[in-house]
Amino acid sequence: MEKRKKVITALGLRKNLAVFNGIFFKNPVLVTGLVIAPAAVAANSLKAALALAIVAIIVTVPTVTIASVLSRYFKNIPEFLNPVIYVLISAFLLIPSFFLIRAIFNPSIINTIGIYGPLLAFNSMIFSRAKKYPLKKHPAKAALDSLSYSLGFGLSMCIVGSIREILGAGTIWGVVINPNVTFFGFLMPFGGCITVAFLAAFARQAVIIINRILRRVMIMYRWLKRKHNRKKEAVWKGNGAF
Amino acid sequence: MVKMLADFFTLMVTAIFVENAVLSRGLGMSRMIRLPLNSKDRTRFSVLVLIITTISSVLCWWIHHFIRESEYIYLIRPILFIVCISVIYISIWIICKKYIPKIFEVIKKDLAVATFNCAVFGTVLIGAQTGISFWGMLGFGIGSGIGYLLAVLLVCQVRRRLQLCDVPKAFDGFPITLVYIGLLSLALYGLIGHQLPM
Repeated sequence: MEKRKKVITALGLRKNLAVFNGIFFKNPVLVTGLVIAPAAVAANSLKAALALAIVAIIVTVPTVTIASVLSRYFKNIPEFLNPVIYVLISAFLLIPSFFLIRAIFNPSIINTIGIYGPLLAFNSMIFSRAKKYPLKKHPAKAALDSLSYSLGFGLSMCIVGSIREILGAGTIWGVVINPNVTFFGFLMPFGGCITVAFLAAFARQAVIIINRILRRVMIMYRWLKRKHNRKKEAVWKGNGAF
Repeated sequence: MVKMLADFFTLMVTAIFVENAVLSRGLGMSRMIRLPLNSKDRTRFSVLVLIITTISSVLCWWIHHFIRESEYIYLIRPILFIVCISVIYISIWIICKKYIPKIFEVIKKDLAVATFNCAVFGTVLIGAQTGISFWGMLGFGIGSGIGYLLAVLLVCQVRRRLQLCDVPKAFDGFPITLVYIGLLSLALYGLIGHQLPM
């Protein structure tokens, strides 16, 4: 057990790159189920999925950075007011995000997303990420971390949305591909739940396999490094066996 | 008088069974996967959600009544409702801390998670979108809370039983619970027959 732990943190690469964990290893939708409601119900089509991803990025990233900056300067705020501040900031950031979506897609996208647009102001990503980085006091790290989580959310939403649209309606981004074979169950909430569940199992198995490969790569690297060091030492000491 | 009672009970039964907040609309699923499994904690959490849903539905109906006719309502509406919910949270915290310290010790940990929840905010938004009367909104709020309680009971019971089964490693924990929630919502879909308005 101890040997394995030493090998994994030997390079320190994992710790430095832990900021980018949110994209794949700790995906908010698929691996750690932080935000499931929009993905399982509202991501009927690729357009709606992209719109929700854009709203999530615009709402989450500034909120978490402002939260980590505020915790450095205002230490007198009682702790029960923290969620209130986060939620109010993210509510005000909903307005520019809605104007942006209306400009990129057509104005009827607001009716397509329905209530799941404003519901992204109550993200679980905000509450769980805002607690972590104020302890270390790095606003830039907090911004990168929340950006990676939001990008992971967007990526998984696009995958789920495209699968549901291709299998459910036979179109993708409105362009008809396959009008004969359609299962309308994928467009309903229950189809979305089951799709997300199977993709989550797929992602979890991928994480297990990648961890195994990384562990073996690190063992090889450390063995080769030791061998090279021993060779160097032997030559320097004058042990002319080579 | 008859219309009042009719609205109240119709919308309450609709919110419990047909338009369940968790099983038909998928709100609040991310909390349910993480809830503790013993019965004291989960009933405490879901009763808190029920209380907050009723209070917030009443208050938000009053606020929505005055700003119903305005152009950019879909932008102003979320902000006002969020302000309303935060006011409820702060007032419950302060009142319980000062006057009822026994209850405060019990609900201290769960209050933040129970208030800022997709289920609470979702019921308020849905009730405001479809313009319903005051008694209907009250019934919808109570019914939504009761529906959440029923869904929490079902899912926690299933999580306990799944811990005893031989689940493959990739499906262990979160994915298999989501498959179960999908099957439950498939069963409820049989009652409705069509996609609910979002």
